[in-house]
Amino acid sequence: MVSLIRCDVAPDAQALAASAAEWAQAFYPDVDITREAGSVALACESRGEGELRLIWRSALANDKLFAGGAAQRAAVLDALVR
Amino acid sequence: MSAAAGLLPLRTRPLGETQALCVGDAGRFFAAPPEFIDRLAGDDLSADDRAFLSREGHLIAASDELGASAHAYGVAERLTRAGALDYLILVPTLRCNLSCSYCQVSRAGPNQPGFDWSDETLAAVLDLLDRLPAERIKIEFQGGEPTLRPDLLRAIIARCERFEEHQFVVCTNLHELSAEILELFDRDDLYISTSLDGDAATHGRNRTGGEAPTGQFLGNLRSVIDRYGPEKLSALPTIDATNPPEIDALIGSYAEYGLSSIFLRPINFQGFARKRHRDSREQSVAWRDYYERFVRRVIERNWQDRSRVLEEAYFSICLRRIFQPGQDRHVDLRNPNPMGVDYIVIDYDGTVYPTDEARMLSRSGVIDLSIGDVESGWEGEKRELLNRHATNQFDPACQRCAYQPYCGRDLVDDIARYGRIDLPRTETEFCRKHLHIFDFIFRLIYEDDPAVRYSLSRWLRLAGTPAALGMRLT
Repeated sequence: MVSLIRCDVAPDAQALAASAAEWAQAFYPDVDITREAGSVALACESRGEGELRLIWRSALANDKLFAGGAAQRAAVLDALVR
Repeated sequence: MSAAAGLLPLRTRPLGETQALCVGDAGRFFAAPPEFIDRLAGDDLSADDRAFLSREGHLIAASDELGASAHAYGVAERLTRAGALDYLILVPTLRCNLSCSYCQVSRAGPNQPGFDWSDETLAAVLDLLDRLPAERIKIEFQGGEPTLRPDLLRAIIARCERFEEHQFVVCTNLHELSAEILELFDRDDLYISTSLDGDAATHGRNRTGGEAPTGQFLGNLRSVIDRYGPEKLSALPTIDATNPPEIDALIGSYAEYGLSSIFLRPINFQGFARKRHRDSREQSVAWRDYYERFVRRVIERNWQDRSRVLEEAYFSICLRRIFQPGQDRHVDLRNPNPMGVDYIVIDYDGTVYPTDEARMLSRSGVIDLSIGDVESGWEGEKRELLNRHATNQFDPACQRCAYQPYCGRDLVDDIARYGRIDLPRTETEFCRKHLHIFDFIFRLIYEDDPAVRYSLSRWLRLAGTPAALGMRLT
């Protein structure tokens, strides 16, 4: 049985959702991720709705954390190289 | 906590339906409920969240220089610091007295001339040993079948006496066991590595080819274990992932000889296997499932019989990379993974390769990955070119992956499977394999099962068994 969830995306979060959807698809090739106007749908045969919801929440968080932590990460590596 | 407190970089990955894993760049991790992930994404951390993150070293004040240094140190601990060359894989001969269907180096026949080190190559290897600045040396004799040339093994071993520490590993099929070979094996600093594919029928089908030679191998295996004990010997099964052996039978084959470490290794997509086992390029969901069932069965057996601890070797290596960075020197999983620096492979003709897999690819005629030769050196442009791509640190997928601090980079594996190194990480078998194994490890870490904790603790070489192996934010 296919599990399917649909998550709303706020107008000001479209770019974040696009990036998160792209990376979630790369990390979870068994999950079918479709972006529509104002929402994202995730479908999968082998995962439940709860897990799909968490995949999406983690993907959004990861993308924000990646952007927020990039400068700090680069600074630490730069200091280590020096 | 000061208003200027800063959250150190974190990455998340779901752990089932009810919790997510959060990992910092230094590899510290914790599990948290979905609501925390929302608060993290929404910049809406509670006071309790912040206190927990601060306590666990994920949040530091802007003025906390000691905290910042501790974080940088933790990140540095995750990075390979390749020292001077002190690990040589030597191939004194490419000849072999067996012909396995998945031979990874397209071996030469037992009587074929021209596949052994020449006198000049031997002299160059000895000269290299004399010039090494390291105080310790590890030498692995590969082949071919290295015991076909005990004279060359003896010459190399004798030349290593000047090192403070020396260790030798002879990778052998144990098909022949002469008095001359046993005299070499008698050394305390020499270890034996062999292949054992399972029960006699499986081993015979894959390697020895008939009842008599299989019996000869098993007799020799028994003989070296009786003579030296199981600690002297390590064995690896090569598994046809499309038709893996029955789990208890495979474990039993190892347990029967007192061998506790089983490196569950699917056929490598190299050498003859590229033609004869084409589907070994990618591992299937069925293989991943088999792997998990195998590890869970080992855990069950360890719990039932605590007089002996069995392990799946690669699982233990990955587990220790999570908890004990820098403890293992497993060169197939490290980051960065510099090539031709702290270890090299010297082939039967003196050619130098950065890894044994690079030698296999070159032998198969896929691509020449040699970086030089033992006489004229290997520290040139080819090595430099490979090492420009030796890290996972700047890969866009790895930068978003919770497992990046524990994982590695293996561009030779990418070349072997796909003929290129620029595929998106997540589309490679290396990435899929490690996502699976780290997902599996973290599921086990957070399973509330004393049998699981018992085995994980033993594989981490801990004296006791902690009440929990992973921190939780509740």
